[in-house]
Amino acid sequence: MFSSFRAALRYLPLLLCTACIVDLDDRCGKDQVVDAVGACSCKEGTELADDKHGCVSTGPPLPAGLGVECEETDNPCIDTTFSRCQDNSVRNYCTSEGCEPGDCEEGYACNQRESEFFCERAPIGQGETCASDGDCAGGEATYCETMLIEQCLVRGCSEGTCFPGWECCDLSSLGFDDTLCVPEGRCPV
Amino acid sequence: MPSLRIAAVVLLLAVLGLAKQSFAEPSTPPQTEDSVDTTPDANSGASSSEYDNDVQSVEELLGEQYASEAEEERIQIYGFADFTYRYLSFADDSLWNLRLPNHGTFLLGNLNLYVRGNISSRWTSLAEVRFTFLPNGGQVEDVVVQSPPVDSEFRDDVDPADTVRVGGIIIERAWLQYRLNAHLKIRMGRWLTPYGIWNIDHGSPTVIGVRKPFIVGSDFMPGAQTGIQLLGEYRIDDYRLKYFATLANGRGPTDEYRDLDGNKALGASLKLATPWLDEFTVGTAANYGRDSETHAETIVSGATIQDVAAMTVIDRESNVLSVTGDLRLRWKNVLLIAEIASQQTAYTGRGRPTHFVASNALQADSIDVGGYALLGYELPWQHTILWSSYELASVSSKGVDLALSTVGVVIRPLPQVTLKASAFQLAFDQQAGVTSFLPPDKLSGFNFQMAWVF
Repeated sequence: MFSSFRAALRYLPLLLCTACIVDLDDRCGKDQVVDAVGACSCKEGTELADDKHGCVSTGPPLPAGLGVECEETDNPCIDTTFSRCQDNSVRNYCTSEGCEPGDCEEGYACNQRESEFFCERAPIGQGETCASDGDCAGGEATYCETMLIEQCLVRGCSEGTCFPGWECCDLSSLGFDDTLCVPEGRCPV
Repeated sequence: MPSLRIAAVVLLLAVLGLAKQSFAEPSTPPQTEDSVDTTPDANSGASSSEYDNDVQSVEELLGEQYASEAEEERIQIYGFADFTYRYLSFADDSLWNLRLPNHGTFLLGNLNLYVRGNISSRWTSLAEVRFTFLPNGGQVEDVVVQSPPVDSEFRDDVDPADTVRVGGIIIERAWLQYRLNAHLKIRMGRWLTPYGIWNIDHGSPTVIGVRKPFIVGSDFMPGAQTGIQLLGEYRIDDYRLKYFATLANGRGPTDEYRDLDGNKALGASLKLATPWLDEFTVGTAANYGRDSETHAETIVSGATIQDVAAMTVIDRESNVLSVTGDLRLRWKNVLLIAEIASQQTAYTGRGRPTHFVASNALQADSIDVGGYALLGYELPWQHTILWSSYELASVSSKGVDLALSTVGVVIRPLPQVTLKASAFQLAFDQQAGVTSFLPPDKLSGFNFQMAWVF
């Protein structure tokens, strides 16, 4: 009797509301699935993020050493392929030098603006979905563009400083004294 | 389930009509509505004249004493208290041992004091505080492995040879109300959420059971909120519609005085009293808001103050929709009370917390739903009510289903004194695949309670 009552109870919300906010067929977040105990586990190829609120891609197996946090003197890159410790406002990382366009791993692009070409890591948080600046906190892309694309963007750029494939967009023509890195071709004219 | 059988017998006797007398006449003289705002608890918008023996407010039980003072006294002080003997029984090795005694206990449960201010014909205030022995002996969060109970025993600074156990005060509500006109009032402060039946007045002398129904105690709908409430009523012939709209902080660990997010919770409630039978009232309520838990972290990147920054970190964040429905009917000696409630929790992408059991996984969105039905029958002796109730709930946020059957009796030898006895059996059932944080063992017991108003 208990189980039949329980089954009936499951349908009560349908009677109680016409605007349910929970989709019983999709009870978890991005890259998550409901597991055997009713919890949200990360899908294959993803893992629990450091903040333990979501799942992040483990991505294709990266070569050892790429992206490893480093310090030029105290914690140098020891992998001979990824021997360059690249300065970064959030976290320095190990990467490779002498690249050509298309050489770099996913999430990296060849930066040819400097005399020594290197694989540049995409700004942390850039392109992630957001609703407010709070969603972008802690990364390099700290500005949440809520009007059009609802993504975290890098703010305060200048010509040639954005990640390859992105361009610095001057918003002064729109009445805003600000600049943002946006995907190439997306800067409103 | 022995208690179910007992309940069935009681109900059978009740239906067969052991007593024929109707519910007693009101113990309180009718009050004129919208004259001076002396409605017993204007939270419900209910006057004492509409209910009979099954009272709904502490003020109603005070009867003429309250009514006669109401128009004269600028400040009224009154309250209620209860004393209970509770016996619980469960398996010797049950996890219930972590949180409950497997034997009988005397307990002083509530000592609530009301202070009502009749400021003017349009301005009214009400404050209710509960004195409690907590935090002494209190335990935090329901988890399988309990933390040690709080020890609040200190040496008395007045008499160093003595020790005292320090208790606490719970502010149940404190509000100021302005009556705009006969159909609209505005209430500001902390107030009981106007929903359902049990939550309207939680005084132990007024409610039939010894404890709250699970859906009420578990806050499927917030029991109290801090914010602004609009309330009023409209009559058409013998029909009366009460309406409420609320704006409050929403849920959170400090929602009484601090909103941890920018979103405010919105709520609405309707209650329709009809002339059908001797009493027939239906109601519904909804509340939508954000439940947030955050903390601040300091980030130090250098040696100077300019290198120190702080940011808010979200520990838990969800949007919560609560919906309830209630029915109350009385026909001759029979009383039926029923409530259903649901709580939907949808976590945001940045605030989905770790699962309560699986630490390497996250909590799923959930729909908790439950309800109860209480059937009572009044006997022609000392305003006695025999009653039986059955509660069910499916709490997917905790991975558990529960069923609780109770049978009891309420006797009111005086309007101000209520005697109660009840026996119950509680059964939990883990939902498929889920290791619940609640013990799966059956729990049974009984309560004797004496509750009084003063």
